[in-house]
Amino acid sequence: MNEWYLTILIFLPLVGAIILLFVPGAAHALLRNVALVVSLIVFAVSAPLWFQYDFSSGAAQFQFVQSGEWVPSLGITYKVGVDGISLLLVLLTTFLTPLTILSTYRAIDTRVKEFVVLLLLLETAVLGTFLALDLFLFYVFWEAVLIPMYFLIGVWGGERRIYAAIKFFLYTMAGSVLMLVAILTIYFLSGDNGARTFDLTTLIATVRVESGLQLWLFAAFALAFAVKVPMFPLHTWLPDAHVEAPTAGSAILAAVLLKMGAYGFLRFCLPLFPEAVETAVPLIAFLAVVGIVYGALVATMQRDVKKLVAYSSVSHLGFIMLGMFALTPEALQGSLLQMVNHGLSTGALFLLVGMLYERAHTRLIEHFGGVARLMPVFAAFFLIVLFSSIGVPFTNGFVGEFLILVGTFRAEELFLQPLAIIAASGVVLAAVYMLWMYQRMMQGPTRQPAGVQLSDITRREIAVLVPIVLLIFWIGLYPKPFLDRAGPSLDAVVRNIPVAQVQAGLGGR
Amino acid sequence: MNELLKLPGVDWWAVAPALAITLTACVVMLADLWPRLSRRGTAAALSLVGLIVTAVLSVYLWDADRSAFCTVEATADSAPYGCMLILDNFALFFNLVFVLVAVITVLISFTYMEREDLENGEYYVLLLFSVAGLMLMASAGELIIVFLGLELLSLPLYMLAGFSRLRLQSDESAVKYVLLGAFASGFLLYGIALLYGATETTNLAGIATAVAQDGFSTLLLIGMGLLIVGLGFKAALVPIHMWTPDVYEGAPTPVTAYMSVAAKTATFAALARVFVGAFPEAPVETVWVLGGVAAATMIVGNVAALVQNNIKRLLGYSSIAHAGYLLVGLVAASVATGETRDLAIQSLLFYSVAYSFMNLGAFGVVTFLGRRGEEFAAVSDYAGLARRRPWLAVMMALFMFSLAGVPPTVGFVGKVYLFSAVIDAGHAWLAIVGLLTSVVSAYYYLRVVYVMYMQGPSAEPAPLSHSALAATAVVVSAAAVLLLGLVPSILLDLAHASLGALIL
Repeated sequence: MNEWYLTILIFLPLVGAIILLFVPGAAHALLRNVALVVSLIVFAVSAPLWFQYDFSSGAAQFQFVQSGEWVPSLGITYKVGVDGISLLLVLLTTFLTPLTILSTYRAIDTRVKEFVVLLLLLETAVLGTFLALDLFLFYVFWEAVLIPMYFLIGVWGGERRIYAAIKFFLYTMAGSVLMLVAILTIYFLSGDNGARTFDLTTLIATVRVESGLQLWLFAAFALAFAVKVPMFPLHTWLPDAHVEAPTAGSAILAAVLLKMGAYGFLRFCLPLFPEAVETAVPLIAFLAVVGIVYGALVATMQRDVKKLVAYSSVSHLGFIMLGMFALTPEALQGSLLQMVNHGLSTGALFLLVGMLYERAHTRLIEHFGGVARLMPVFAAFFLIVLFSSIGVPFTNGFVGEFLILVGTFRAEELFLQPLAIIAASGVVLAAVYMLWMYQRMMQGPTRQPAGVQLSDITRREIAVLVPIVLLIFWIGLYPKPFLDRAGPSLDAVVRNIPVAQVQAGLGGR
Repeated sequence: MNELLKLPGVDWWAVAPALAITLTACVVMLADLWPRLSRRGTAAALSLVGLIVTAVLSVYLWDADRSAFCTVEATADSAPYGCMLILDNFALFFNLVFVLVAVITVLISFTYMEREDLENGEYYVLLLFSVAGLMLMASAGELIIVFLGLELLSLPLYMLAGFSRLRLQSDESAVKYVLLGAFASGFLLYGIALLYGATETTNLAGIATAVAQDGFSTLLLIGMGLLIVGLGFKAALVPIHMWTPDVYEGAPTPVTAYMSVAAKTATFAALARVFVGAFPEAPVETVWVLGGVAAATMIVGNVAALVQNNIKRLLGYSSIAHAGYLLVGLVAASVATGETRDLAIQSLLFYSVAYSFMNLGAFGVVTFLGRRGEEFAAVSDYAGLARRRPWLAVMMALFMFSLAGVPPTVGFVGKVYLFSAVIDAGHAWLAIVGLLTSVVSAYYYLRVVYVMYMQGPSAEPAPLSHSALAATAVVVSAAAVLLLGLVPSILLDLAHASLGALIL
């Protein structure tokens, strides 16, 4: 049973999607409810992972591993397993999927069947990406994510949806194909000492790539992940995709899909190419900081609130990348925690913007004013989520960003300190654009789009937001359970990187 | 009696599959003349029976390693070297592929031909004769057999391309194909002549022996070049691909489907025979030439497909690109030795099957649109197909994703397989070109998908026909695309078992 646990988890949404195919397409309510129930079951199945994942002994190895042959003649295995890093991201995915499905009850009323089927297919692909421990299997899931997302943006999106969908697809695919070449290269290298394999743990343990080639391979992987993160200057697909995607699509995209890129760096780049990582630190850290400041500045200038949130994502993901490549234990922990935080807060922001858009059919900031008086409950949730996004103390964002900045500041490389200072300005800028936006929309004289009577959010919508807000405060007040689970695994991924080892020794935890 | 006139005995088993197809063709032809039998469907049904018999024969002969028409000197030990026909597993693998392609083609042809009022026996007769040609090419141990196979394949195809006699485009298609095809045959024959001049034999094994002794003379290299031109024409390699879009667009859709798959895979089978069998240690320059042609083919095919508005032209250019991918596998096979070469040839076999399924499936969907005399082949005619025929659209989308090489489809596995072979052979640049052009290709394949899914049907939607036979063919192809994408081992193991006498 233990062995099959993760496999069942990954493919449960797929089973749900297949069941949904047999529900008549006109029964919209039934379709939504079945999808919701399926996603809740998936969450219920995944929840025990949190408790059963063994972190007590500082265990860093993968747990609940299932391994079997898939294509034996090529050494391709079906291998899945979970560690502290993927644990958090898997739970984030299963936690947010039912909420996003619940949020679409009113927003999506055309081709409901296809919509929920695609959402569930997407969940399977994302879970597979986070849990795969075989490079080939990982790549299959990684690419398979594109198909449902392409349809979600393209069919239910806004005006320029086709452009956005194709841009999203081509950008990601173009980034990924070179990673495939790199994966195959490593695969053939692994043949030098034993049978050729795609198995990640074996590759980390046995393959030593000479440093020149390592840089190339790292670059190929990094390109794929950097597009997905997205890192400045490869971020241009993101605003388009986010703005055009339907609310649920944006929420999932921001909350989960963007994490695939950062996760890829952690899972593959750091352990497989330790020397190249050290070489790349200045470049990545620099681009991350540029992303932080640039994303924040552009967000400040947006008139469309959804675009504002999209650019704030660019800024926040800069923090995540900076923390990861500072390679100190604190910064790494902050980076992973910030992935979860960003998933919660930005996911929630997109859901909130979607709720407003459903009522007003516009997202331009200038069309709104004093909304807090008309929608007090909405405004309260909005403010909490904004605080979380800015990183106000007692919310989750604070913990993550604080850890990242502290960790970066005390890194060995001296140039990281000024970068940390510049990055800190990103927090200030976040406060500027978020609060300014709140002030213009929620406070001041009442203004609403012509012919629209804004009404406060319904119980269903509150049900979507409450779980997220609870988590925001939980992580903000008591992040220890999260950090405990992630710590050993994070130490493990940087085990081969000398700088990271030195830094871990100096500081300790 | 003169030595030359002493005829060797024939191993009839070695020619049995090709013979079965030829006999079927004759039976269909005769049945068509007999008034009581020439009812609708008889020819198609008889063809299917003949094809299935051939498939059974091929399975029966698996691992038998038969050969026929051997030179007198060839003894039991030396066989299959010195033989004209080699029915090893490699040939049988391709025989099965050809039978499969022909069966699917017959299935998608019937309704289409009836709709166009072209349904009659000679169509199937021509189709079957060309299948016999395909089989000869895949089992050739001799350049003359390659040439014979190519002609036996081509002549029926010329006629089939012009089968919609009353459509001017179809006539144009046939004329272009005949004229250019005749040129290509000339090149091929001249190449064979030069090779004979250089090595005093046209037998593949004989050439290999001569080359091993005397090395690559200039005459030989010119002969090789002409040979590549002659075969490359049929496979639609750049820069001799110009005919492809026009011929594909004009020919009746099922014929286009058949041409794009069968002629291509058979040519690659023959190329593999020639390059691995006769030139096992090809000079580096030929690798660069072939690699350059492969890169150019992938680039030109994919880039030109971007601007096509006719689905048959689009798939035509896409099939050029896919010839480029296949050529990558051939480059890997001709440059590498040992395990890597095995890997490369297997990947070539695998991709031939993968490509057959996805391309035939896509063309199968194309046959659904249209009415008598009018093809509705513009990409915009697919608008709203997802709402009008959800399952047809899902399958078309699946074929498009597979052609683009997105997992979890057979197209993805096939590409990984091909490109891993060429990386292993030390030419990673070809893999990079191939994968980057795959990204380009995603654009036009996705265009078909978004037209189906993201645009509503136009005011006058394209007429759609109902055909259980064609639907069966499309469903089978779709199932294969998905199944072989998820469980590729089935086909990989078969491809592995197909490496026989080819490897010297």
